[in-house]
Amino acid sequence: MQMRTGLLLWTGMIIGPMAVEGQSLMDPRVVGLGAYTPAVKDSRGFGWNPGGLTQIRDWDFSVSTYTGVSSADGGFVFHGLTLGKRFMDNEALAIEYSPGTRLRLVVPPTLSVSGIDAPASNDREIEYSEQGSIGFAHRFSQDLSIGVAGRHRLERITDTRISLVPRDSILLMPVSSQIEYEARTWLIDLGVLWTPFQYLSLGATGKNLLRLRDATLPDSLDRLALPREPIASLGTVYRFSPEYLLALNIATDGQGMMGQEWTPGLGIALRNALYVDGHESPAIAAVSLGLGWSYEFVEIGVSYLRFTDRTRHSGTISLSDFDAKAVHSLDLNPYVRDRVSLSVKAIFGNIRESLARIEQVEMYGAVYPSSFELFAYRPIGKARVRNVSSKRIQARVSFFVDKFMDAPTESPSFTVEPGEVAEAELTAVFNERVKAVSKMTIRDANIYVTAAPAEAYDDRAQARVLFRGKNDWDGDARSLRFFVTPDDPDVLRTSRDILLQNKEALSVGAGDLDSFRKARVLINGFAGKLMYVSDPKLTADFVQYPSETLKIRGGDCDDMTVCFASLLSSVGISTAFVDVVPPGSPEKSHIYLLFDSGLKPEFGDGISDNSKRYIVRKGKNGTETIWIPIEPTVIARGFEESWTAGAQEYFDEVELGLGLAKGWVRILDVN
Amino acid sequence: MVGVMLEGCQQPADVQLQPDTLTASMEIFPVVTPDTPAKTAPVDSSAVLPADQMAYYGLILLHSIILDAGPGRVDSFAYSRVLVADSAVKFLIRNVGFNGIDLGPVLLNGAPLLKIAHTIAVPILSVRDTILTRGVEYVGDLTQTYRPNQTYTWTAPLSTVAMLNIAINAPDRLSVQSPAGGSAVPRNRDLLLQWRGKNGQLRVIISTFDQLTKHSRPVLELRPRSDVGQAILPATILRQLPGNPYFIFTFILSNKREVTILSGQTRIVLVQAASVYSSYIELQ
Repeated sequence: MQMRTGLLLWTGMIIGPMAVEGQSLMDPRVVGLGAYTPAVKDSRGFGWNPGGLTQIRDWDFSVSTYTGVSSADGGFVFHGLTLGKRFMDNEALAIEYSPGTRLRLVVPPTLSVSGIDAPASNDREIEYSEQGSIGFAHRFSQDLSIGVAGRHRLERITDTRISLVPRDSILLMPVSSQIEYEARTWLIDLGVLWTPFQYLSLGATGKNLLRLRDATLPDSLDRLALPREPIASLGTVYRFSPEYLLALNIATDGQGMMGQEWTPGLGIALRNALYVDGHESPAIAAVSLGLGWSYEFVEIGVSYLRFTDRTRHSGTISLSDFDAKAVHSLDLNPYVRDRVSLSVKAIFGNIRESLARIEQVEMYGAVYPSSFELFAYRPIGKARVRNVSSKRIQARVSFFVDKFMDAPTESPSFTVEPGEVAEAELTAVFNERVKAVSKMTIRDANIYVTAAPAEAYDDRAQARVLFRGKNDWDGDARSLRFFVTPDDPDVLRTSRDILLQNKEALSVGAGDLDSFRKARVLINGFAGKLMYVSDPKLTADFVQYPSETLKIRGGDCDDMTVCFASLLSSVGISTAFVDVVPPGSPEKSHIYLLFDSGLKPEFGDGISDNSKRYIVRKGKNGTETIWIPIEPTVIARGFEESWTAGAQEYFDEVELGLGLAKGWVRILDVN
Repeated sequence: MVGVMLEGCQQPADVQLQPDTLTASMEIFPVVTPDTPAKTAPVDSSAVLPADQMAYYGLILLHSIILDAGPGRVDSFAYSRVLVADSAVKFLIRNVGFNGIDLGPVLLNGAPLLKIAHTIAVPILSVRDTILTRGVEYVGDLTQTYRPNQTYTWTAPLSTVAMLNIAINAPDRLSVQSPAGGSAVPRNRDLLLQWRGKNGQLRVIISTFDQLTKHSRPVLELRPRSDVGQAILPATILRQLPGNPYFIFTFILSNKREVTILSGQTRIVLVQAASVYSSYIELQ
């Protein structure tokens, strides 16, 4: 709260000494609120600040009308219509057709020619209009938008001349004719909208920064030309609560506005404002009242603007009092009358107001098809979600990659306070197509946030997801187990064939050694057909699936380890990886295999007199059994040598080197 | 939305830029030269345009005249004139005037008017006017008796051909502040016309004036749209007036109407009571 108060004071200090620019009053909200530079939220008020166009939700269309309150005003004037569209999330475009943005001043005739063919006309007619404008805005971030707008201005002066010409029996025949001068100009404005906090918006606009002219008034009429010098305006909207906001606006042309809006509910908004003009007396030039009502995709607004100087704004002023240079806005200047404005706005497309916004998406790393199931419970990334509503929301974030996922995964619901930010971790349930990715691929992932009680998503973001090839491995031994496929038909067939061929040998002997003997038969049965190939790319990249190793009958230590883990697992023998990363020599990292013999420790001498040749460890069922180390790089030489080599390594690295205790040796259960 | 659009089809109301001083807008009319070789009476004293002099079958006039040629050169008088015609006078096919009929004694507010011969001047040989006498007309000098804002009634109690019993109100006595008689008026500046006088319709007749022959010729007529006592004649008009430097601005504040008084005929007679002020000026 202290910071809010400080910001308000700061804003007040900044704007205090400056002088506000009147703009188009097509939107009754503009009239009712007055200060609109930081409050632009649709296509109707982009003349105040084109940067606000990014507040358009999708399509919006509005039509406006106004009328004076005196009998001289003659009824409703079609003020104009606007059409706006937000596209590509961060861009917005709007066009405005505003025939009612027009100021016409007439000097009544001092002399007029009588006669049917020469109707009385004014000595001079001065018309200023801005009937067309176009605006574009880009949102650079969730907080910052910049827009540019072009207004087409027409200045037309029509003078009536009476000529005296001889004709038949008339010496001097008065003949009336009109001379017209026009100046057409495109005026370019630039606007910035910055919302550093949910409760504070700042808007700045530079008017008339560029002029593109295709015709000018003659020098003799320059005093009737509208001001063309650049004008800066600055405004702020401070939202004290979700129901109440205060707006201030000032400009270098000496105008200022202060307005407030109260939204008590039921879609109703009540507004009022004070207009200050240093050129007018009294300085409080006008007051306004506004009423708005919105429901679903329709918004209706009505406003009343009343000027305090009843003489100047009466519709009649003296010639000497008229100063074209005081007309900075055709809708709000010292010469316009009180008016009642009415506007209807309709929103199309994605018309639901967003409650939450995705501010950032961070992906943790690549997806390895071998371990794709992992992301069903291990986060693949996270999203930062901001509550952009004025109420507490329950948000969920979903994640989806087309083709590689059958349906989006959704995060648990989490609470976000108004204006606050929360992070949600993203998980992904990929389908089997991921495993068909043969080489590294980048795909777009769509992240959605949905805030209760919404039916549609509130915001959407995209992130790049890197899919590695199916044989790619991240080097983590924990991921290697995802290459172990005991259910693979090739693996099953191979293990069954070998066991069948050794059926008689296996049928002899005690049952406690079944697992040990099966493992020996499997390793010996296939070992002679395999060839170890040293991995030229070290370990952290490529791993063959067992079916591939069985097919090509060769591989490196990772491939062999995975293959024999699969063969052993296929016949119900539990396995584990021994992951060795020697300290100071990561290039000597390697993996070998342990399998569970199923023997209780007290029967260890049944397989070896040397207790260093086996390991006693707990299996998954929590009971201690004897595990046999196997070094797959020498497996082609048979079970015994692989066992011996494995036991030696285990002894050296674990018992002598204390690798397990120091953490550079890990035993990871595969099954 | 469509309703709003259709409802709002008006244009924004104009903002009126008024001169600092309240002036009347004026209408400008051409002055038609009648197709006649006859001489017509000058406007500064007759207060009737030449075309009207040749158009009406009679004039019943009550005029208060001020001729202002500058300080010390102001002449004023008042008169009444009655001419009722039953036929036009032709000369070489063209109309030159009317034949004034004798109505017997004609009274103005009970006082008899003087019956005189009605003459028509036609410059036949361009050397000297030929005076044609065609019937009679009635005149009366009211210089001493004229009163503004008074009702004047003409009667011809013994006439059998005309039902003359016509009353009309005399307007205020008109005075003109600008342009002052004898003044020099620049052509390159707007000219303020300023007068005082009500109870009548005001017209301003601008005539050229030849100082040598003393002939004048009306060229333009101005009619203010409102009775505020002043109006602006733009310099653009002054610049287009003929090069002759001398002009007469004749202000005519009048009440007038048209009547038919001859039994069995539809001849129209102009009845007019006017206060006339003519300023003789020089345009530079």
